[in-house]
Formats: sequence, C-alpha cells, structure tokens
Amino acid sequence: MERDSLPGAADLRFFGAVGASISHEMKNVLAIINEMVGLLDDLSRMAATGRPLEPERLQSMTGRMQAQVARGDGIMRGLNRFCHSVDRPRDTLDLTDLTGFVADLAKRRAALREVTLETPPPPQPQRVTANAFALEHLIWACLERAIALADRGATLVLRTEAGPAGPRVRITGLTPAGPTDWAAIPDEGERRLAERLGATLSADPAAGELILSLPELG
Amino acid sequence: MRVLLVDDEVELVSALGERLVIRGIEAEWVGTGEEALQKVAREAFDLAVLDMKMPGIAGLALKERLQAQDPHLKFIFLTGYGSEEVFEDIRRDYAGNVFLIKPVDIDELMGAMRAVMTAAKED
Repeated sequence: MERDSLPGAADLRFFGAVGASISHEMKNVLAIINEMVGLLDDLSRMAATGRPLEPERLQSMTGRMQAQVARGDGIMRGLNRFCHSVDRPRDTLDLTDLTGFVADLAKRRAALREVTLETPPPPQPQRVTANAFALEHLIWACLERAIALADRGATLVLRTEAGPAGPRVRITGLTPAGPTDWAAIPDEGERRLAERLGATLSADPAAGELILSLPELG
Repeated sequence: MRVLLVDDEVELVSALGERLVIRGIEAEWVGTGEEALQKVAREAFDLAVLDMKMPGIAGLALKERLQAQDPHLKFIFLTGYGSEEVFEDIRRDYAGNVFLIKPVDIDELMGAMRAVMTAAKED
C-alpha cells in the first residue's frame, strides 16, 4: 500500500472499529473519574457539616483516580501510536511488539466474548519490513477471525516465531463451539489483506490454530 | 429503595454505589451479569441499574434473566456510547426501557430511579 494512495473501505472500517473501541474505553475512564470526583465532592460537603473525613479514605480515592488517569494515558498513547502507523509506509518492524500492540487494541472486543488474549515473549525477536498500518490491519483481521471462532472462556495465544519461509504469527487455542468451515479461511477480504503484504493466512483445524506467514525481511 | 448496580467497570459502580448510599439509597454492586443473577436469587431488590455491554450476559438478555427470577424488579440501563447515531439505535432497540449515557449525572440517575419506581407503583 503506497503512503499516499487512498485507503480502501476495509481499511477505513478497521480504523473506525479501533477508534470506536478506544473511545468507548476512554468514556469508561472518564465516567469513573466523574464518579470519583462526585464522591469527593459529596464527602467534602459532608465534612463541611461536621462529619469527619478520614485521611486514609481521601488517600485511597486519590490513588484510585491516579490509576484511572494512568489508564487513560495508556489508552491515548495507544491511539496516538495507532494513528501514526499510517505514517510508516515501509519500515522495519518488531513483529512481536506490533502483534502485542494489536492484541492490546483488540482486548476489549475479546473480553466481550469472554476470550482472553496472551502474547508470550518469543525466544528471539522477529522483524519484518512492511507497511505498519497494513500489517496492523492484517493481524487485527486474523484476531477478529480467531475471536469469532473461539469458544466462550477460551484463551488465545499469539506467538511470533521464525517459520520455514519467514517470520510468522501463530494464534492457538481455537476451540469452536459449533461446526466450523475451516476451508473458508482465509475469506476474500482476509486474502486481499494478506496479499498486499506478500503474506499468507492458513488454518490448521487439528491444532486449532491460525497461522499468518510473512515474507522474509526484505 | 434497594438498588443493585451491575457494571464490569467495578471502580465505576463502587463509586456510584457509595454516592447513592450517601443519598439514603440502599445500594449494592457487582461486576458481572452472573454475579447479579446470583445476588438476585438470594436477595430482593427494587431496581437494577445495568451496563448494556459487558463480558458475559448483559443488556436486555440480563434483564430477561433477572426478570424471570424476580418479576417485580425494575431496570435502568447505562451505556458508554456517545454518538447521536448510536444513541438513536439504542433508543430504538431498547424502546420502553430507561437508559442513561455515561458519565451519568447523579441527580439525573436519582431522578430516573424515582420515576421508574413511581411508575411501577402506579401500574
């Protein structure tokens, strides 16, 4: 994908989905801070009428608020990084770091389906040369597929490793609750996302895994 | 009035619950739909305030399950959605239900709670 080429509809949908998910999470952070501030206000009004206000309670509340500010800061840093990924049309990327980043973006979507995502550190770093945004989109699409296939309560493990033809991402832990048409993976949209990076997506029903194979560092 | 708050953002429901207690409401809170079902199976509540989107059972599905356990229980929904478009979708999908958008104003919540309970008495 060239830097200045117009993004396709699928890219815009991906950008929108991530933006909506992040804004939802940020709303929760603001809602919590709103209630904490409201509670502090309630307590200070009560203190003004003579009811004692324990310092320990105040300290606990400020600590809880600081934790939410830190959470919000992390969310906004993620958003900033995601938005700037479109500025990296061809870059050498740490595949493990990028996979972990996308998993983080997808965490809430997974949680809503009661699916947990894990990204264990690889034995050795895996690097790829690619368009950062296109690779994020491809990994996101793989994760969406994996989350949809996973049974409720499942843990999906995303491993980055050296494959026979280049670095790869393996998503294991797929235990579909119902009948699954594994032969339909990848679908047309997933195939297109993979093709533009010279990658391939395949499924191994026996192992319950998706395998995203990327080209050697170019 | 006994109120059960249900939201996976436990920090949110605990702070909201404390504020309701200060206002004389008997409030309790849990972090999942499953915990809400267990709680309502053991104790009587007048009103449940439910987050619309949580891991596991949530929203209208949770309302139906809770209502099956206690037909007298009344409901208010909380949502984190912000856009006008989504708000309209919710209004359509949740027609006949009371819902408020987070961050919620405590006076607005108190007013909605009173309105729901008054309407229930008039039924």
